[in-house]
Amino acid sequence: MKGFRTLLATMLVVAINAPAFALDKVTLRLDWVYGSEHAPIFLARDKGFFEKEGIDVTVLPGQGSTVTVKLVGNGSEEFGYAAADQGLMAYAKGLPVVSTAVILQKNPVAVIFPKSSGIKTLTDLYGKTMGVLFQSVGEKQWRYVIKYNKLDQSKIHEVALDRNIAAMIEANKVDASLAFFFNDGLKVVSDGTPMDWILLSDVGLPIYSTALLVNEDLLKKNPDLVRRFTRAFVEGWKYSVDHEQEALDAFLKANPTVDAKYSALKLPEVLKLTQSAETEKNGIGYSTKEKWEEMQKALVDMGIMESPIDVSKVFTNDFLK
Amino acid sequence: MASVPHIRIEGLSLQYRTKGGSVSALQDVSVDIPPRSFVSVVGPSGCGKTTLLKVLSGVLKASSGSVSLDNRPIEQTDLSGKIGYVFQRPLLLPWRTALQNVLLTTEVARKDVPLAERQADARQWLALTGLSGFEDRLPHELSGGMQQRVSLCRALALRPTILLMDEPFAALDEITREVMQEELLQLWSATESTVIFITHSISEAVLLSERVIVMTARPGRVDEIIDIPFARPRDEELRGRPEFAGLVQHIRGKLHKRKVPVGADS
Amino acid sequence: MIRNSFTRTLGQVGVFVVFFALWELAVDLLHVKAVILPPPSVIFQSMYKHWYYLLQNSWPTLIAVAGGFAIAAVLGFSIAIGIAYSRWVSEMTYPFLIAAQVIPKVALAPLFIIWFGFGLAPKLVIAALIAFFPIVINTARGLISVEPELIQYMRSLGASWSEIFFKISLPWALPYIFASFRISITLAVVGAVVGEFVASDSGLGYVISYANVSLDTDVMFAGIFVLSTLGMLLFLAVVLLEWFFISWQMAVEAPPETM
Repeated sequence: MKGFRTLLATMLVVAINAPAFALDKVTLRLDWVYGSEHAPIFLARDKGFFEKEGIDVTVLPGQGSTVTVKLVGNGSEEFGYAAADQGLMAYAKGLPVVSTAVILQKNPVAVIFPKSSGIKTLTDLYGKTMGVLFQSVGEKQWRYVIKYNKLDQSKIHEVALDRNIAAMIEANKVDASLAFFFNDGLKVVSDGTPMDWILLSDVGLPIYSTALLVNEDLLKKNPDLVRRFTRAFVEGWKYSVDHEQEALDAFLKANPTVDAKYSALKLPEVLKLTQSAETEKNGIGYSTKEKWEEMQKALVDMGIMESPIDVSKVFTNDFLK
Repeated sequence: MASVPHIRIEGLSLQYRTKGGSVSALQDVSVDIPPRSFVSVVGPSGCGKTTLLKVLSGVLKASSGSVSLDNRPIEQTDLSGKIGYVFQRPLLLPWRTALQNVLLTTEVARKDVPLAERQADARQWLALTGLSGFEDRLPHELSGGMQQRVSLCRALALRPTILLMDEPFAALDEITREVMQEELLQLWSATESTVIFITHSISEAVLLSERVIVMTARPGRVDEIIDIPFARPRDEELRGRPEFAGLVQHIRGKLHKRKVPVGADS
Repeated sequence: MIRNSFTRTLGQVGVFVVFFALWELAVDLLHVKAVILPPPSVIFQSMYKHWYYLLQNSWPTLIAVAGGFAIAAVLGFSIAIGIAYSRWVSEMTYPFLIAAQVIPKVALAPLFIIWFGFGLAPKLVIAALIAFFPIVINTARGLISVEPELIQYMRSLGASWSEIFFKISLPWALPYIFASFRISITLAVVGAVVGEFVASDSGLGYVISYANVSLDTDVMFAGIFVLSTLGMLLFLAVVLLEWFFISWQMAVEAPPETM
């Protein structure tokens, strides 16, 4: 009898508070498979940042920024975490994708190589074999860097590589490779070979990296939701910068089968990329029109974009406040 | 062996292994086959008729007993190129023309004879079976009866000393069958072969052969050997004669009398 | 229904026309964005605009397919002879062959690049591995299916094994072999493209893959269309070969409306 009364009371409490339990259910599609570069997102979810904002988020792994951008632009998912330059390209092609927070301020594409190779600058690549992701925008970025730095391309022996960069380096089949430094580069380090890298961003390629993307129609229809989501999202990153271990733990707990050593190496490097002169002043996720236009110019020069568009359509800092 | 041999089969037995144990296909078969005779073998299905033919063609070896040709054991005689075989189905090679199919046997067993000669010979055989003008047809363009004729020519092209025929006309309709029977007799008279002919048709056996071997169900034993006394050349009219019917009756009786159980021999 | 060659071809073309028309309509009615799924009209325009680029990249794919197929044929044929004529070979190799066949080659592709290097070699290996299984199975089947009575008779006439093989068994097996060729040539196309997806700087697989990440969906589909055409042409080549070698069989089997 007592049990029944408790049950009744609980039901009443739930019924009265029902409106508070109606969370907004949304999906967030990442740029790639789960990695510790997403640790702050897992932390934000599991520590309740989203719930606090009245959001029930389902985090989904991705198959490349291209796919994520298409999904968000098509309205199939509400939010995406993918490369800002892909977002810009998509908008130009008629997919209405808007960045509400540019998290990684620097493009992580780099030329990676073992420390033992003795490579210090780009010209040290002359006479060496280098893996290039021929089927990606990365290759165009590399060409741009070559042009910008007036390198002699014929002196570098390029071979086609995509998915097995770490393995190829470890097998000594290539001396260097174009790669996401915190993915393939750190994987090799984790396996025992010290690596070094030259970020393309440091040799003339000003490109934003992953950002929080949202469909423009959703933004216009429900700006409050976008604001709440962006807030929770950015808070996750802010918190992680100051509590790196906690973020790593949250990620490892959610993904028990990952390589913990590799994950631990990656997170600090990724968190470093969230910092720039603008974010110091304005907080994580802030982007400037100048930088977007600079990026667009590079994309146009690379031949990836046909003609420039009005970048102010493609991003906003409004939701960061 | 220069000429057609006298075949003597004595106490021929053959067992083979199956999953259930050993099965006796032939048991103590003894038959005398004079040279240039036409002998038919009749009997219920599974009585070892085809097995007997395979022993004679050298494909199978007897388990016991002997087969001798002119008093020499068959194992010691070189039969290559001297046996003609006609199967139940024509088994022609579908990519070869009728002429080329006839040439198959001599290609393999008469390599010493020049091609032109063998071709001319093949054409003659085809002409004899009424297939002039069809030499360059592919098997699928020929009727069942015509295909079987080609198969017959293929066997005869070897000028075989022994011609083995395993129910060659079974798949043909009755009219074609009777035509083929007459043709066979004519062709055979132009050769010097001994013919051993398996059939399910008792009247066919009586019409064609001078000796009919009646076999029992498995294990195949010789039930009776019946001599057919009619003179040659024979023709269709023979069927109408009362002696003919009598012989057919007699053989039918022999086949129906024995209700031997079918099963593996222990 | 009028069964002649012209009407038949017209009908076959008609199916494509209807398909593209429905596609064009659907994309328009459902307001699908071109970057997600372009309509055929845009794709054809793209094919026209980039014809040289597409043609240029068709060549490496064609070489990979033809080479992979040739290797598959030789390999498949050799193993099949072992299977057909040796009980021991048959029993020993069958389970392994099946296990090898079901492994998705996409998973192994990156390993092949480490083992075989860059360029054409890994593409050939993948294409050959995917394509050879039907050839083995069918060739063995064809060789075994020859009438044993006829073979026995030929042997008794003194025919040598090689005579029997070349005069009887092999021609007998040809229809089976060519049936498997039809399947295998399409598989070789898949294999070559899989190799190109994983790591290549040329070929239609590269075109498709690169256009995808560049959000040039129209070029991506243009590449797919060209690949499809390439596959059809190769299939046709096999059929022509078949007609040349076993026209007797095709006359028997094929009703007029079958390709």
